[in-house]
Amino acid sequence: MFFRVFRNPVYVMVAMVIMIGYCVMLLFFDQFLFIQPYFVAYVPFSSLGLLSIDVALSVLTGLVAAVSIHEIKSNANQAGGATRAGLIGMLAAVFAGACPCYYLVPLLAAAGGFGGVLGLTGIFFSVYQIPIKLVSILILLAACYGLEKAARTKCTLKR
Amino acid sequence: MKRNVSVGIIVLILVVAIGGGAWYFFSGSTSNQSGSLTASSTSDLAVLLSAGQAPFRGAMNASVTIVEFGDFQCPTCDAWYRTQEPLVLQNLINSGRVRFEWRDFDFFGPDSISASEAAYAAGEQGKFWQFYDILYSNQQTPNSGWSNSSHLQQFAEQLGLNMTQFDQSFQSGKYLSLINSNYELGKQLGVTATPTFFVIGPNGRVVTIVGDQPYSVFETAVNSLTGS
Repeated sequence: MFFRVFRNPVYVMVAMVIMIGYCVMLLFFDQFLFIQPYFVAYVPFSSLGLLSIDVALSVLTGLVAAVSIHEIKSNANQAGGATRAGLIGMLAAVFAGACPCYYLVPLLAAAGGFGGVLGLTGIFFSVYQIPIKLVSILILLAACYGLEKAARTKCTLKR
Repeated sequence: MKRNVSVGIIVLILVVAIGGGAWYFFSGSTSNQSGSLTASSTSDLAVLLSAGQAPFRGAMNASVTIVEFGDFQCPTCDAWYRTQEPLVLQNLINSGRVRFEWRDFDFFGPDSISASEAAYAAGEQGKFWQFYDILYSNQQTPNSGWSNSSHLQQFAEQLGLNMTQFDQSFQSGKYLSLINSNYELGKQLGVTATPTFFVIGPNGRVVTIVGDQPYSVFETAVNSLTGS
């Protein structure tokens, strides 16, 4: 299924643009990349695990998004479940990407007042960002499996 | 129809993700991370930052001052403290080139304020920085109770503080106005993330550094401000 979709260079481009865009966003949020006051890329040894999670999340998001778009365009009625899983996975990936306390928590705390619900939400996302990202990866993997399975089901004759 | 809705949702998610990231990348950075501010605004910034008293380490008359706005419960501040601050301390502060000041920007919760109050109370006995070190060394999940009153008193005991004096000062609430004014000052200066560092040069020029940035950024900023 995935190989078939990515024979079309348009979908390769779509996946690449999404992967790179999303990866840059995650690297920025997770402080592997700084643009002010100077452009710096910096990966502390202790954060290699988080970097791997970010890269995996970006690659999976790009793959699932491109294949979901392909499925919707070519088989609107048959790939519903898998496409929905893909959408949930991408949504989870977006939330997971907005986790780090460095930006989100102070902004939410300022917006919602000290100790408010928004501030607590920000702290929750910050503290549990790695488990949230891992769950997002699992959802995206499930979406990959679902898309692949949906494609195989379509090739089976119904008796 | 259904197909168009699904494509629309995918496009919306991607636009939110990538567009949101781009918005932070550019607009967020110009408001609070400006490394090249105009002359008048940098002077204003330097004047605002010099107001009031803040605990500092390093030479009083150092040509460059680094002011950190942080929260003792913030994991990113802790990460910077553990990995980069030793290098800043060793190469910039201990060499006499930089004076390092601390301003609390407490937003994680009431325990952040308690931690700041306790650190200031320890400062009365000349042990602000030892307390600062012990707080970061013991940091755990925010608001999990690691910096509640009883733990803060234990830290004070570990440092060998006079507990009667410490308790009296810690529980008096006399540092709340300083903590509030630091928070307001931070907001006024555009602090929206911790840690945020303002590197102030001899002529009032300011370079702002936001986040757990590597030592090389601080060194470059100090060199650019001093012309070395």
